[in-house]
Amino acid sequence: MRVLVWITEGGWEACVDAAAELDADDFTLLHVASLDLPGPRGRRHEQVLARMSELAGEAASALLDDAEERLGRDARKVAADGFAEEIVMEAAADADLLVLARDSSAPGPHSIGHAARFVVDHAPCALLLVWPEGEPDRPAPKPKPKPKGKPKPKPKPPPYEEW
Amino acid sequence: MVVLAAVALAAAIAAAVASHDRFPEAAVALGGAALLLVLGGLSWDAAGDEVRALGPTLVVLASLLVLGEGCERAGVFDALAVRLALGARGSGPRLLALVIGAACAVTAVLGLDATVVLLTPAAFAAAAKARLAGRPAVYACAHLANSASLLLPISNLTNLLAIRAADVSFAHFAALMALPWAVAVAIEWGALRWVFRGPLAARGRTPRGAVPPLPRAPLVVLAFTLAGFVIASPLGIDAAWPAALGAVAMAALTRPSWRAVNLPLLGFVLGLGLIVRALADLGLADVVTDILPSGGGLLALLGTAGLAALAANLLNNVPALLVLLPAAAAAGPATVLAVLIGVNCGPNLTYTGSLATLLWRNILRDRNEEPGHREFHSLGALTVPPILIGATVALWLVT
Repeated sequence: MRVLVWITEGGWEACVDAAAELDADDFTLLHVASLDLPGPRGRRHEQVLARMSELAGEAASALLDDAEERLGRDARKVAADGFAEEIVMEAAADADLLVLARDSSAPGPHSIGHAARFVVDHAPCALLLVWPEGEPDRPAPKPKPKPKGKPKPKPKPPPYEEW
Repeated sequence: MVVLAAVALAAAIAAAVASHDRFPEAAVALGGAALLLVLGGLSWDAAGDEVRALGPTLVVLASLLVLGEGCERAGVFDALAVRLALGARGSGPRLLALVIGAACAVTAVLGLDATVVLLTPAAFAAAAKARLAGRPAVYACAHLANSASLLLPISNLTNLLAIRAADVSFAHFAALMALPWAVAVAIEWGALRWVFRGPLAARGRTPRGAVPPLPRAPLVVLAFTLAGFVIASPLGIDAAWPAALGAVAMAALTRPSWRAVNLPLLGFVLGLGLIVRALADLGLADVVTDILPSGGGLLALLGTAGLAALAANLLNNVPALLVLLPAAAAAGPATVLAVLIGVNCGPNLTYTGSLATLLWRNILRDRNEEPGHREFHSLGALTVPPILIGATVALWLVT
């Protein structure tokens, strides 16, 4: 089974722990750096962005090394940068299972961020979605009962046909 | 002649916004100014006057750039990054608070450019070392470079240009702007905490490894330079002297590259100043005086700050300030400071720093594959209007 593990700063430990319990031998650890620098465009902007990209590369390879060590098995390590959802979707096309973490431990729809939401909704392979700290930080609320709609109006009796 | 001067101004602003290699903004601005001089739109006396007035400001700006580059060379920002990461102890909100503190300090002492160019990568590196989200730190630097630049005359080029017109001393400027500055920083902090509440909640780690020593010498030079600014102004000495002395000491200490001086920026400001002087002499000053709300009342100051913010978004901050400054200076120091609140904090409204840039980029379809701007625009909309109002009210209270 080919397992793709999406490594993020917040959830990598939970992802790697979940992946380590799988009965698989082919692991790919993928980290995507999204660089974003608001401000006036120009030479200065490019210069700062280049420095940040260099730093992001160093940080990503350190994170991937830690993830491989925690996994305890050999893995392919891929550090990419760009739109996370696009890059993960592309990589998921060659995987049987994608392991990813939610972006926040607070239960609810906001626990899945923009990029992860896109992947969850569109991934071509099976998914293992874990909580970043193993479990949500509070119990799930009681599901709300489905609101009753207006009672359907009774069908009008067919007008009596005139004899 | 008015048309020619207006075209020269528009061309200079367009060149700055487009930042195209073939039309460097300094050449366009200086070329426009030279054309006006030759054709008689600007008298030689007025030009000489303007150069004498702008010269010291440009010396201070160049010195600040050298001081910042020297600190970077000496490893101050690398050491700072490690300390920020350690101090955060794995907590996103704590790192954000530390980055905001660092951004306030760097912007106040070394100016807006140092925060954008030197602190942003350091804050990003700190987040990476602490395994925390980088976006809140980067956005905090981008926002505070503008809104935290209200405090000292040296924090922003606009302040440097305004202080010579407003006739307030270094210490008096800081005293008047302290409360508006504090209001602006507090609003930024609250908004950053709220907009990034998701990414900030994730836990990081405390980095291991050696902590590089904080280089002392450049910080001592900085402290002396700052003290020089405070002392020079009541003694009647121009701020250019302590700035230049500090820059020479820093250059001797750390040997930064000469490119740090950023001659194109200095040339652009000089050219722009000359063009705006020509326009002012040709009648723009009267027009702006008519538009600018008069008086020191709260509503007038709010109107002034709002107008300045609008102008900064349409024209970029430095041209907006230069256009508004003569009329504002005639109205009094409080109006000048309200203009500064507008031109310093206003550019946070749009992702690229000004509406003009945004429109231009959209025309070129040069989106450059940037990630979604939703957070940035909600941050801008959340912070800029309350800061403009809150900081102006604070200014009104202290004047």
